[in-house]
Amino acid sequence: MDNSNKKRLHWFFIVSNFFKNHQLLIIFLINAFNIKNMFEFIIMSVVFIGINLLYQVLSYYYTTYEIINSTIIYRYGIFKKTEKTIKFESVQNIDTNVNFIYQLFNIVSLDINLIEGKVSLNPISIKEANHIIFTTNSSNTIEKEYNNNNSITLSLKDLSILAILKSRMLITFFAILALGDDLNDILSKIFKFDIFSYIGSVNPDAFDTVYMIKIAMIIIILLFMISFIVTIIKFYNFRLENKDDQLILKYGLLNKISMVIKKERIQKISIEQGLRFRIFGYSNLKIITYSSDSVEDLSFKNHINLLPIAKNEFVLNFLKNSLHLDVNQYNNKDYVKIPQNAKFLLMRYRIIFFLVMLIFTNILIHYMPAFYDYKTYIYLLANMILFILILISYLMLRHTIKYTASYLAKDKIINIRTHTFSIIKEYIMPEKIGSISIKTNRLLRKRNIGHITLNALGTFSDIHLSYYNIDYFDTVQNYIARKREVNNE
Amino acid sequence: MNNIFKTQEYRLDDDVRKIMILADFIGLGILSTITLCVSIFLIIKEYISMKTFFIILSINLSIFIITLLYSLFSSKMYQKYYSYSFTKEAIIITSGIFSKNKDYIPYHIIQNIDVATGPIMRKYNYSNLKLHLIRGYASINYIKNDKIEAIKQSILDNKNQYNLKY
Repeated sequence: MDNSNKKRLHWFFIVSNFFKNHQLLIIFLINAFNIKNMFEFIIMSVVFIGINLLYQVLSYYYTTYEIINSTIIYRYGIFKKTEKTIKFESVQNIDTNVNFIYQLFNIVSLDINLIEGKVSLNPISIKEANHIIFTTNSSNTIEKEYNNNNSITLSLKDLSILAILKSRMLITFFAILALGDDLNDILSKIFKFDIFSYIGSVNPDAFDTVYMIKIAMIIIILLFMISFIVTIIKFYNFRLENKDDQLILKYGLLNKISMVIKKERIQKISIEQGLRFRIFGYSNLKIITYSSDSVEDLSFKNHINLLPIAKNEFVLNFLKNSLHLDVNQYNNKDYVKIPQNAKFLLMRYRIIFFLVMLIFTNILIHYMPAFYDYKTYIYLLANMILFILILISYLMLRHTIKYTASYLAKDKIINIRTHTFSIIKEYIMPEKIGSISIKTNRLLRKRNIGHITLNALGTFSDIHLSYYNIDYFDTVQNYIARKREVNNE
Repeated sequence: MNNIFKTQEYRLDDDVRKIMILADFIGLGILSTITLCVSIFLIIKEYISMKTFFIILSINLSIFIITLLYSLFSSKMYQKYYSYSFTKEAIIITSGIFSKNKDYIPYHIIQNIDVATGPIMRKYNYSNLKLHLIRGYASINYIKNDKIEAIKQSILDNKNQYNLKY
């Protein structure tokens, strides 16, 4: 029964899983509270380590994979044995993750993504991972000559601009809290300005403009420095290779990510422009395949970040030449927009929220004894902050109403939506749409409005058309049915 | 507007109301019995006073009556508004009492079909048809057992007309 093609994962599997066995660790910790002396502790530790080690060694022994006739067979389980057979043609994309420790051992975590779920060969050697990627892709590409190869990299300048445009305020705030002293040392060496001694020397009653400007400058510099470091760590050595029918994406310093994306598997292309991106003429290009939720990329969640930053023209050209998507042809079309009578519905939660906030804040200030001395100032300040928040909220609402639109083109469904002040243009292939649903309630129904959802085949690429005219559902339904008939033929 | 949520070809039978009410009644009955048993145990052991016992009992009874009344109402509304149809290219399900839903499920995304039934449904010869889709699942509820095989076969036949690659 033993087959010579069967291979095991890397031995580091035992080590990494030894520390990931949370259940056993919890049992150990619960029992550790009842330990009376050192001897019992040592016995229990030995038993815990022994059981865990035995379990991991057996798991390692029984976890195998083999490649036979364009099929990957993955087996695992000690008592309950499971065998997964994956045909190469059902593989959506393959990606690898390498963290800092994996780099020391020359190993990777290889994720074979399927329509639903994934098979993770974690960890295996880089050589073996390359072999699997090559074998899987070569069977799909059938000896194609790559004659359209070109690659895109992000320079230090690009990464710096990205760091400025995507500055991480929250991380900076926590970094200042955690590393206050160390940061002060660095800054005092660079700028000859010791912020802590300066704060101590300033008279708090006198408003010092220079002092405020210096503080603001330091925060801005810190913000940029931290954003820059985070961006460099994340997108270090960014490289996007465009081959005939696939894209190869590699980036990362501590956690190296490598992906092979077949172009035909792309479900949705998304061009995102934040407010700062728009001002400087930059865009962020993302794509979603069937199973891109498996990409361990916390900051961008479920999207594959194809081009984190690039000039608008460059993105449009890349889409045209590499993904055969001419975005300009969809401009000035007859887009369907949110109806005018949906404005009130969009506003209703904000109105309730701000009314409650206004009443609550003023009652709080009125009755709080701590505010008695400065009541007038605090009234003014609180209501001014609320007014600014209402203004921002209103501007965001106007932004949403102005830009939200959708269009059913010949070969794509185009959905333009907003998130805060960002504009996101999504291009989804109609053949990738599965089911369609509409929801409405009594309030919305009175105004002939509903929420339409186009459920894509893969996860996280659904299109939500919120607050659209109910009759638009029929239009979308007929469009999808027509496209499916054409594709079937 | 009304056309979008219009009643589809197939509606639920009147028996469905009975099944829903019976299921709710049994569930509530079990819950109330457990509460009653626990309360009696507590009063025997003198953990609670007679007054507290009657408060628990009256709360229990109130919940029972309110839930049963809601069950009578919701089962009627569910039966009234739940309908489905099979078109050439998809299954269409409309439902919802207060908020209306309509689902359009093309045949080609159906992977496999399960027939699921419980003891009460079995007594009345009803089953649910659970459709496993490429992503997630959908369900056609309360179908008569004598019709279910024909419906299942019809869905599979329709599905086989499509040969789409993902």
